[in-house]
Amino acid sequence: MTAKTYSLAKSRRAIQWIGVIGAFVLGLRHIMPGEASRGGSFDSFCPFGAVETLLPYILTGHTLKTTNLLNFSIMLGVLGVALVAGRAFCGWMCPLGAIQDFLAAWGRRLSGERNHMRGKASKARFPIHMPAAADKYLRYAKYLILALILVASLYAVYPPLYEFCPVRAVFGFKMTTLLWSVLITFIVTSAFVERAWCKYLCPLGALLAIFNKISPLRLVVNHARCNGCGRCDVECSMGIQDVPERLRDAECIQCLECLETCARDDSLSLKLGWK
Amino acid sequence: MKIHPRHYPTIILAAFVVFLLLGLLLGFSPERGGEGGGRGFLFLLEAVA
Ligand code: SF4
Repeated sequence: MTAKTYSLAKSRRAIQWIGVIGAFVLGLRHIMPGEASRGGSFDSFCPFGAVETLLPYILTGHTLKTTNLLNFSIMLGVLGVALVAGRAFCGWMCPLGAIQDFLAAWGRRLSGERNHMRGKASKARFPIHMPAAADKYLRYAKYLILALILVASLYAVYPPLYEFCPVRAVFGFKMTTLLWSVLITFIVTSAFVERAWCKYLCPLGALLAIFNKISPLRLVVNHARCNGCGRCDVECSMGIQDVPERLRDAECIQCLECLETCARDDSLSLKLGWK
Repeated sequence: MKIHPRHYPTIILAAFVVFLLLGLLLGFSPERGGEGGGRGFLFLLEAVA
């Protein structure tokens, strides 16, 4: 870590809280009358709404119900982050990702962790590690979900995720039985398996994963300095093993907790550029 | 070029804002009524053709 006085983790938490509060405000606005006449529904602020409505918009000239053109601007913002820094939106800005981090921390505390020692394996019972084989194959599910949504969007009137969208369940305030089930599942799974929805289910994460391979702002390892202690692996909420060798991994959400955890100066660092 | 971690949050937030504004300037903004609307890319191509 290049600067011990500066806490990346605190900055990340602050930005995550802004995202969470922003989503709650949009949720409150959602239950007030006449929201549609004030710039669009709750769904029109969702970047993934742009993906859901893209094909219908191209083919018919109309967006799906509850989405509008604002979705494309929000998605462009997310793509801007991805073009520069890969899946950093997932690690830093996504309100659902933030809630998962908070739930995992609570799960850890409730199951026996007193003080979290950065870089040291927690003694808490939760969150658990999925068996490696299941974890490996389940991670492909999000790509399948993305493909299914794109196909479904061609026949849809509402966005395909509309009825069971976890963002609506957590922040939307207009609850249905289905959304209650989604909310309870979300809370339980996030406390049991760290970033479960990012790892296995999130179609937006699936879409952004490719940018990890090409973004110019990235983590690099100095092999002459890294002694393979594995502290970074312990802190990785995405369960990436052997982090220094997998810094371009599609699963990395660029949270930079590994950089924050590394105890050797200049072992891990941030670099801008492709070479 | 090495980047100090302190600058990372500013860089990603700036990227978000710049591209969001670009989208809004391109006309991807909400219409009144909040749903539907707009003319698609194919219609644009049609018009050009
Ligand atoms: S590899 Fe590092 S930056 Fe990527 S998800 Fe794991 S801890 Fe975060």
